[in-house]
Amino acid sequence: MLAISILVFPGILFLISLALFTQWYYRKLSGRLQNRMGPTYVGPAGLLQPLMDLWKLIHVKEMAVNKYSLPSLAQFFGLLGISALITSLLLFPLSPYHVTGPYDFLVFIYLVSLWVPLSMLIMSLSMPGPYTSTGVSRLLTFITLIEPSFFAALLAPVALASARTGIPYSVLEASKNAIYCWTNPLLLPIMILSLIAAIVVLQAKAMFQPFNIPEAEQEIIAGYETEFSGPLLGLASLMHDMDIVVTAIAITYLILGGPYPFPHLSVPGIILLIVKYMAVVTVATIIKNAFGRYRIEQALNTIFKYALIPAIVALILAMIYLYA
Amino acid sequence: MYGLIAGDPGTVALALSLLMWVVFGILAIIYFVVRNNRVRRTDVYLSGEPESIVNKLSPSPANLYWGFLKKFAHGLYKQLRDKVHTGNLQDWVNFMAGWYGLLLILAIIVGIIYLLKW
Repeated sequence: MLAISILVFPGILFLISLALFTQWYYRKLSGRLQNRMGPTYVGPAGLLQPLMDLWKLIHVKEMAVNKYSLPSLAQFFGLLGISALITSLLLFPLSPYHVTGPYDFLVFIYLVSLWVPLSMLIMSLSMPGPYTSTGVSRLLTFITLIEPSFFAALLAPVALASARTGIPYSVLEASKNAIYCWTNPLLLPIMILSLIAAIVVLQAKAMFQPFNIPEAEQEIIAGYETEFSGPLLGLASLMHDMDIVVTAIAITYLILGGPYPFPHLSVPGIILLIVKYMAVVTVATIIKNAFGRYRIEQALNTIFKYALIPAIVALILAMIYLYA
Repeated sequence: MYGLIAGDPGTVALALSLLMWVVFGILAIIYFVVRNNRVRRTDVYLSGEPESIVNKLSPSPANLYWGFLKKFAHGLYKQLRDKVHTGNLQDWVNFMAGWYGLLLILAIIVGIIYLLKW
């Protein structure tokens, strides 16, 4: 069962497939919102375009390196970041093989908020250039606010939902019980604040507009990704999409309650899970298309006001509810 | 239900860290089998400019946090500049003594609470 969970579901095969599907979805929806076609030619409705893009980058394109590049180190950290994202899914009830324990939410944060940004930064710094340096400095500045906001936004629902289960701060227990927090009128405001904060964090982690200043195309070429090419660009792109998927899955389970109260292997459960996941990605895509790019201090102010402060307020209210 | 139900977060962290390296190994094998091994030597991308131009225009580590400190945390930066780093040593001593005093008072209060509970 462990081998299936790692290799097939929700591991390597499923997460790569979902990342590529999510990329197709936000590209297609963005295209329609901008009166364009979006991906069209490969597969039905262009569904296989992201897969072909990835295959072309990894299998066909050559890697361009300069005398300052360390491509082996960059590839090592690209694979490590992707591994951390895949492993983090074993904490969710989605996985047939669960790894769970008290305070395992902290392990989730360790995998997703430490290894992934660190891998992304080291990948960029291994392929240096002036545009890369500028992109990395902006990315670092972002991370100082995004990752604490992500932690705080999820901590309140996790604390509330797993409080009386016997396994405190467990991702598995929080996922199963988060839905009941929405039916308690005292907890409803906390869940709404957490959801708002988490959506803003998803937007910023995905570097969707208005938070796309680290890769501002017209200004710094591709920012932190400027020197990536061929297989390395494929890895970076895949890690970016997987990061979006894992963040959206975390919101779907820990805040919105996943398929519960229905079981996973039931038709209403599967439909509910898909609807919640797609709703999260759709909201992020609509915001992406409704905004222009913010300057760095505007972006930081927005993350501070609409992600960090609501998340901290939700956390304080949750602690008052739990311990007062 | 299949899985590992650990009694402490350390075991979960250890198990998932080990699994992360297992996944890394599997991914590395797949990646190195399918990737294109050809490498093209090129110059750093500088929008067509020569490399010498970087000496003047490259962002330095000093401005790594400019957006954060000087723009976003402007209020904090102004406080630090106008009240602490004024060039007058007395201002700095006042500031530090104030904070250390506050920390000392907090430590005493926490210590008393801790001792009273015992």
